[in-house]
Amino acid sequence: MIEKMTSLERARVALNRGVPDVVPVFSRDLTFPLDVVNYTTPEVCRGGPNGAYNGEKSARAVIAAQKELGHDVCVGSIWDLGLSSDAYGGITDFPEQGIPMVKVPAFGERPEKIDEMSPLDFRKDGRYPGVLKSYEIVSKEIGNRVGIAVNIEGPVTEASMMRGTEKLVFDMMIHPDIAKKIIDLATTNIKGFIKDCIEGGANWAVFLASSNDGTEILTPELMRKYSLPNITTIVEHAKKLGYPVVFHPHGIFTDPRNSQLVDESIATGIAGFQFAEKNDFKLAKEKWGSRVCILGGVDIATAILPGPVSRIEDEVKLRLKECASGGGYIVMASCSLHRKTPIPHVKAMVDATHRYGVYPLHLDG
Amino acid sequence: MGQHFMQSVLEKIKDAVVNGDMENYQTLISDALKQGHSAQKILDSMSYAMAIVGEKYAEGDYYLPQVLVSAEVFTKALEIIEPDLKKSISATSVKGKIVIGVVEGDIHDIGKKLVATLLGAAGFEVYDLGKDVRIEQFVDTAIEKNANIIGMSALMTTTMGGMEKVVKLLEEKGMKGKIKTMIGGSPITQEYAEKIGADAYGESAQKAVQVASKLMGIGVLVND
Repeated sequence: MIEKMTSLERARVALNRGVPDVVPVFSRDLTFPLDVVNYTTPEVCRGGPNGAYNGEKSARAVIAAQKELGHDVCVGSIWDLGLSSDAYGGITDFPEQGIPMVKVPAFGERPEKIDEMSPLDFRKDGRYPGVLKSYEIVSKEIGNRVGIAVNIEGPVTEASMMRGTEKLVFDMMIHPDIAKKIIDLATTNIKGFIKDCIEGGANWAVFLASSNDGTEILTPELMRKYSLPNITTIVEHAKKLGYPVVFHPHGIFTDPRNSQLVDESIATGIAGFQFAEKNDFKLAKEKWGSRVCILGGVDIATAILPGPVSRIEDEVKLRLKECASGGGYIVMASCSLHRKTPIPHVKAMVDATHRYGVYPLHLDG
Repeated sequence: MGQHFMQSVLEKIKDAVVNGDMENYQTLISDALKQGHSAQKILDSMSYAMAIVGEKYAEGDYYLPQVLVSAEVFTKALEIIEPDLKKSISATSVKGKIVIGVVEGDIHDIGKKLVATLLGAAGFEVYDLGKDVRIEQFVDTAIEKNANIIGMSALMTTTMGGMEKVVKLLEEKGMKGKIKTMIGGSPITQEYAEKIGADAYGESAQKAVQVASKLMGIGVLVND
């Protein structure tokens, strides 16, 4: 019998490839908590004085969602993808009940502006002070028992927000000097944000949300050239601060043509790799489970959004069978969770994991 | 090397598109026109090249950046031959009209642009509404342009619900079946297409062309 752990303890043990009391759940609930407290998106993301980010409301939403659902790790704030672009003069749209979207990327039309820009000061610039405030409140309220992750984009993904994805891809292919400058600036900013979030109370790990750092957007060569070297830099920085890093690039990495990239990602020093949808989790666990914590597994489009609860439970049980043996597995949805995701379905993922994921596992019956 | 010099200019144009050769396509188009090749012949070579690119992408041999650069070469080359092409093209040579866009709330339009380029290369008349397209805009434009198909893309699980709304609006207006619907995007599956009553699902950009051709009751461009 394994002694009962707090959510934070079990998440730390699992990320370190150990066996916790029960398989932990990281919901990566980016705008999802807004539905739990029924706040509008602009009310939080620009609802403070002079259009500032409202850190108090963000924290209230995150804490309420964790209390209602019981997941083991949360993100310390409501997260919107326009934060960095906005800070450099871009324009973000905030739909009342939707997800913030970058309408005009800061360096979309004039990439040469990058030469005039300095790294961000997250305690002063843009809407970031409110985000950090949210981390501080969440940490104070639930940080003694719940894991709080730093959520930040990976280097290419963050650069895409500031430049626009298509333009950045063209830069990489045709104007590599421009691509390098923007990605280098993004990397510097990511490191700064990690430091400030940890000082603000993030207590578990750094999660690199890297949809554009993988083979869904990049060729393997571009991933090797622009993403992985910067991931190494970020991992070294986080390790110096005492925190592990989870990498979540989009792509089918269990495909033999891409699988070498997982080995190369592990070589950067990451502690966890979250596989996105359409990956073979059984293969992932067999191939890499002894070297890195496996995260992910419950498909949003085919299970969490449509349900029913029984389908979500079945998918959780299947993933536990494939990945949880011997520890080193954390259940997540296939990507981030946003508003309009049915709350009972997310709760079903958390409850099923905690019900069927108790060690020692008994999943064959 | 010998084979390279034996290549016709049309074959070189095809290779320039397949390889995303931004440096040489203008010279090659110019050479082809000087040699008396019609704009339609040049377009046929370029279209064939884009079909190869789409196939390579679907098979996992090409990644998105390579497809984007090929599509850029195709688009730029098309601009050069377009004036000549317009003189020779007739309404009967159009395979069908398609209104295409990324659903409301979603701004990920790279995949949709590729589909639009490949459909254009395959002979469809494409009305690209761009990204973050309102439900009504899809239906109104399709009716206004007398389109055969509405193509919708979504990359976010939170926005894919817009596709169902378009299908329902077509039904309300009595246009379902007269205007077919096809959907695609990272979170979309055949199961989802069936669930919302869409007429077809395109798993990849290349498949989308095959699906559109099938919806029009015509053969596909490329044989596997």
